[in-house]
Amino acid sequence: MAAVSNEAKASGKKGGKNGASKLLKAVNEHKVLYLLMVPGLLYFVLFRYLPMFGLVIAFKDYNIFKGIWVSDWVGLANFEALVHSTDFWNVMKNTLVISLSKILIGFPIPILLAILLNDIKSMKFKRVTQTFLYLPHFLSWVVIGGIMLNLFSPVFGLAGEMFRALGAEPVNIMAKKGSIFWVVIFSDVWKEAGWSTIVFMAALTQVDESLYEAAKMDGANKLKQMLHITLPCISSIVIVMLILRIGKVMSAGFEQILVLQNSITMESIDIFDTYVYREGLGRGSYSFAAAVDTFKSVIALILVTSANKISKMFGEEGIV
Amino acid sequence: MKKQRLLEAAAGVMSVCLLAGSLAGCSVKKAEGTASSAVADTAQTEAKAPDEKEAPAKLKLFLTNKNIIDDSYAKKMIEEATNTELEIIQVPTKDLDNKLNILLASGERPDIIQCETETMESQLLSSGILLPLNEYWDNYPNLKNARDEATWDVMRYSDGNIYSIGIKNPNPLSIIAYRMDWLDKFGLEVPTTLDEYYEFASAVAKQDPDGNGVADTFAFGGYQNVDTSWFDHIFGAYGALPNYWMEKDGHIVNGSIQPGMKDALIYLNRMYKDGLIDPEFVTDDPKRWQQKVKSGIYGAGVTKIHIFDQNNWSNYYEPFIQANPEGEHVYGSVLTGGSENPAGIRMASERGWLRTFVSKDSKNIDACLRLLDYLTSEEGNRFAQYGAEGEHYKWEGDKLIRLIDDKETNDLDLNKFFIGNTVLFDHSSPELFDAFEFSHTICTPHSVDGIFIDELNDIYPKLKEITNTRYIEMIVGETEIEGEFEKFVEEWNSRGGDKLTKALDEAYQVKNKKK
Repeated sequence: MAAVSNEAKASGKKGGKNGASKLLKAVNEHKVLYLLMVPGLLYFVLFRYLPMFGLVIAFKDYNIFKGIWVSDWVGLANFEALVHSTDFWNVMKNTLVISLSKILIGFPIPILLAILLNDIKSMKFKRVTQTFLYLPHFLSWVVIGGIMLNLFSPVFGLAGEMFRALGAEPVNIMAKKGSIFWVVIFSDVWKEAGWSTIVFMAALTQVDESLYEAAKMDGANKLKQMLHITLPCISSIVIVMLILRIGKVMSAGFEQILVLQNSITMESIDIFDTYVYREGLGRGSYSFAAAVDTFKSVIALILVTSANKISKMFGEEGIV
Repeated sequence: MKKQRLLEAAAGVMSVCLLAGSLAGCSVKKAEGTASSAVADTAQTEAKAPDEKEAPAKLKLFLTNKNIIDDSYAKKMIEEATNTELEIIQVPTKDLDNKLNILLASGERPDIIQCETETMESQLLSSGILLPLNEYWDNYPNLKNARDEATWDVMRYSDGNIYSIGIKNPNPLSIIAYRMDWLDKFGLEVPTTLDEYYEFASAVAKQDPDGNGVADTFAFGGYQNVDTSWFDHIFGAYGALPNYWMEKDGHIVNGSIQPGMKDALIYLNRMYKDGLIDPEFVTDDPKRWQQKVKSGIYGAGVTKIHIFDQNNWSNYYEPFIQANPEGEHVYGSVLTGGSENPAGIRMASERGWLRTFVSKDSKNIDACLRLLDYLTSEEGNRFAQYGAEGEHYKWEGDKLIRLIDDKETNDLDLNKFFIGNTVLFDHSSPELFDAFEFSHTICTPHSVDGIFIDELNDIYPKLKEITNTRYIEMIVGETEIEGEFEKFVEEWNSRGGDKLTKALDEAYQVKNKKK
């Protein structure tokens, strides 16, 4: 949600800079372009902004049988309940830890992959590798969850075989608080790394070849070329991608967690989205769930704007 | 013009015929149910039903997913018998609450609503959108007579009205069972004490009773459900059942926090460490668990009673016997050696696991009740499960013989309308009835069945979840039992458990006094 409001802000700012009369003139000049923008704007208004009015239920004791307007106002009671609930802080911690770990481990890998693939001479090998890398992106988490259940089965699965081959007692990896965290991180990397690689590979094609030639002349080796040419050249894309990722920090992967949760791992990987889902839709406490979600969105907004500011401070281009 | 006049004339003639037909229908109706040529009879009703009352009433149903298909045989027949047109929203049982919440929040009100959980049920009951069935049922005798007074009594809400009808199933549906053939193999008797049980469980898991050279047999497994009922035979031996309200010295207590549970957890933890429990019980889902039961890898523990029906109720026995031609189950009594007063297995609510409600705002209340009345009548109930006599089943004495197999039953959408039905066992084998009878002798009464208080809805689901999580953590050794169990009891109470127990006990005392 935060990312969306930022995009909207971006368009709003441009309008503000021009001033009303200038805007009119611009609209007149580029009628067709503005017309093309209308469906996009309409989409955001209809599906992103109007539903936001539903957030009022966070300040009400919403009863589905009474409707939004008739339900009683309760002020900040829901937010108070949320701050005082132990579940909330656990969920908050989990969301941040899981999300940041995903970024820390998952974010550099596609960049590395893209640089490695970019240097491969054989087009055929490159294409095939690329395809295999991004294939998991198209599998749904439900399917992956099923695969993992069979793979990690200590009795009938590959994991069980490996444990036995190593002479160890088989462990149910999916049902251990310690190991489930890594299952979450690595299954996410495995699924999504290939997809982000494509973005970075596209950025790499924009790097001027002559820079490499000049560097070679000066005797720079591959590593030096990578550090001083490739990385600086794609840094702006990297920053934009990072800011977008940070905007999603509060959403640590709803479907994935839902699939991987069981009685034991329930608490240790419970995140905002799964918590809201269980409380709101599962138990029907809509108002409380809406309060949790509002809280989450506000934090996400703060995070993305501050990330943007910081990137600008270091002289990089932001997204706003 | 000509055409229209012709139509009008035809309609007139038809209606006269139908009036006569329906009048006659009333008097023959009784005979219809028992008549042997049900096919011919239904064919007749088929012909007259659509015009009996102008147009069929359109009803929207919110049901658990049984994959009922439009235009299927059973659906059509039921529609014709009740002069309705059914639009069925089908949702997997575990998503019923979520989906219904979304539906209701968006302002939609299905005419007939099903729900499984008590949380959703109390939400519906307190909402005032439900139709009190008891105010109408004098016109619908089948519905009224579908349950006895005692069952209606537990269905009664605190305002004195009855809003729902549940599925009537034998209760309990679980039983403590052992593999007879494996007991024989090891020269053991059916265990009666915890020590004997441990001996057999170890043999099952460690001595490769199926002789395939792989350590793939276990005492028991389970799938994710918050009742922790897979361990009932052990917990019960120590005197209580977790997540279950039981009476102790005249007062209601919850099994989860009884001191005996600590010893039970230590026992279970030892079993788990020794590899006697399937380590996948935490991650398995119902499907996987069923597959394992049917392939016969479990030998000693709580299992579904269905496995005793040699005529393949719910398709348990046939796959099992195909995979294990020598396989045989035997039930066992409550284990002793853990507590002075061992408890048996838990019972489901007499209210039925899936309750059906009618919306007060329905435009076709009569049609809704007509449908319920038909499906709860002896004739309708049997039809919905077995089909038409002569075509899909026949009688041999008092035993029903099915003439179609499971696949055909499924294709015809028979045995799928779980709307206030009474599950029939007209075709089941005697072994199942023996098991039913035995299971009655080893169950622990459901003391608070039919008591509704708000706290049950607000606090209890979370408490059940915590109990389930903490217990499983202790069983698999994620946390120490020593110290952690006491901490759990504290957490349970501080999260409102003691308050809930008190409130429930008060309600229980009031209800008991009334009797």
